[in-house]
Amino acid sequence: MTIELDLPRLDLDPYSQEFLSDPYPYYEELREAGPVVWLNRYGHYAVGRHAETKIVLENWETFGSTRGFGLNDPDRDVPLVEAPEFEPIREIPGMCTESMQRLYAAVRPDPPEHDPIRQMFMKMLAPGLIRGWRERILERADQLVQDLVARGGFDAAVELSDHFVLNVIGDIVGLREEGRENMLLYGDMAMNTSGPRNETYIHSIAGAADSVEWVGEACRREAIAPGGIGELVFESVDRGEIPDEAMGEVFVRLFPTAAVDTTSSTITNAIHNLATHPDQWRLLRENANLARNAFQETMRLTQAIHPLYRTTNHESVLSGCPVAGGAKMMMLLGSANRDPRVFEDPNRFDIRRDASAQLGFGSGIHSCAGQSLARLEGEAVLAALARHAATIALDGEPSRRVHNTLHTWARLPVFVTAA
Amino acid sequence: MPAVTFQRPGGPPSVIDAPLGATARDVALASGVDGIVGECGGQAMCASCHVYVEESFLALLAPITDDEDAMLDSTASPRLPNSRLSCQIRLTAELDGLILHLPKEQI
Repeated sequence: MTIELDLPRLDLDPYSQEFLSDPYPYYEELREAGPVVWLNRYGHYAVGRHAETKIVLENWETFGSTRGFGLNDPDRDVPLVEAPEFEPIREIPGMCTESMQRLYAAVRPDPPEHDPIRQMFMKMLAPGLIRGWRERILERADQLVQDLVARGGFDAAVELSDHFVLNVIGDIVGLREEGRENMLLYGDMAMNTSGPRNETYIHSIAGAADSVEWVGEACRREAIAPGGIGELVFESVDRGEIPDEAMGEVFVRLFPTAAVDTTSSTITNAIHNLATHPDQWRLLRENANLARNAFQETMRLTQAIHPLYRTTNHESVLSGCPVAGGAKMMMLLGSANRDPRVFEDPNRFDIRRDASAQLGFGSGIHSCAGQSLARLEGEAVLAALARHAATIALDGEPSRRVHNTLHTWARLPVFVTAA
Repeated sequence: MPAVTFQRPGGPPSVIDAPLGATARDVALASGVDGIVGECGGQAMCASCHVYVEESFLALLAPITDDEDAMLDSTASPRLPNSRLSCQIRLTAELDGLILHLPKEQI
């Protein structure tokens, strides 16, 4: 692999605590350095602008997913870079190697293997099908928010976002009620492992052993309640669309992996944005129909998932920059979403703007199949807040969640007054 | 520049001169037409930019792809034979005068 020496080479460490806790100044540096840069710390390409991020997302032939969405490349015996951080993940406590291989087979293919999997998920998560859950989800949010607001203060991250999303996903998939909080540790681990093998990563894996077992049990056919998406998955197994039972379980496990942390982190970020922007909170109070766009604008301004990777399948030229084959290409979605080339006054939180060009759900063939559900969850919570709370403000300093991939708050205590 | 009319049920029409090559969804959002949501950014992923195309223009549009077809099954207002997603309608000179009727609901 030869790297074009003319490319801007930056020393910033995208997994340092400074970077993770406030990435935005670094993002500006990245965007202004050039359309494509090389990051020395872990040895890979990176794009920070919107246009190139969209190109990488939408061109799977060049920027492939078959070697994972993370920095690591677990399929390779030799790490991309000779550093302990790159030691491939061989096992996750409680999860057998075969099970991990199946998981990779489920989430990583590009076409043609990707096509039937994509079609199946698009069908199960189609906006029309999600609309069938709408009333139940709105009602659950309304009840929870009403109870929390009556207390005058609560932790919006744990007691509202996490609690709500866990139960929506639990219900919609058909997972047992007891122990649903295990999905949080499970998701935390899954997202952390796409970063380097740092302390955060090791801590997260160690903390997830019990949750791996819970999720494994809860996602088996016998444990799945009828009427939900879990049942649809096993019907696909019965029709032969999914090769076997174990693969069906893997597909059900994708919900705790990908549908919990992501959405709850975004809702938490939205509440933080609203609590710290009283003018925008007032707009939402006056018109709760803005809730859905407030969620979208939150994804734009304070994207929850930051780094996402592809691996270059061959040499190419991206916006005039030569890119070698066989290298990791890092995208920073939170950076693309603040690119001033696309968004006017990008650092401003404005729940009335058209933020639909934000790339938080990805773009192209691997874009988030569950986006209708995520948007509905966000809308439900934010609209319920606007209905039940007259004011919302931070109750002390919130604490950042320490995470390799997710950018959100671990604790977000808020004061509210009832409407 | 092709002119495109967005007709809301029971409301006044919005007539917009659209730049060539833009999609009807982008034109509607840029002009603040009420009744087109298009929240996925124009990727045929959300079914919230649904329109009913005036019959005489139907044959001039590019055929419906599999992705659009699947999404049209998910519209909030009923799918009719002249249903399309406006993010998939690219405006050409030939489409000058295009009339798009907006459905009651998008979400």
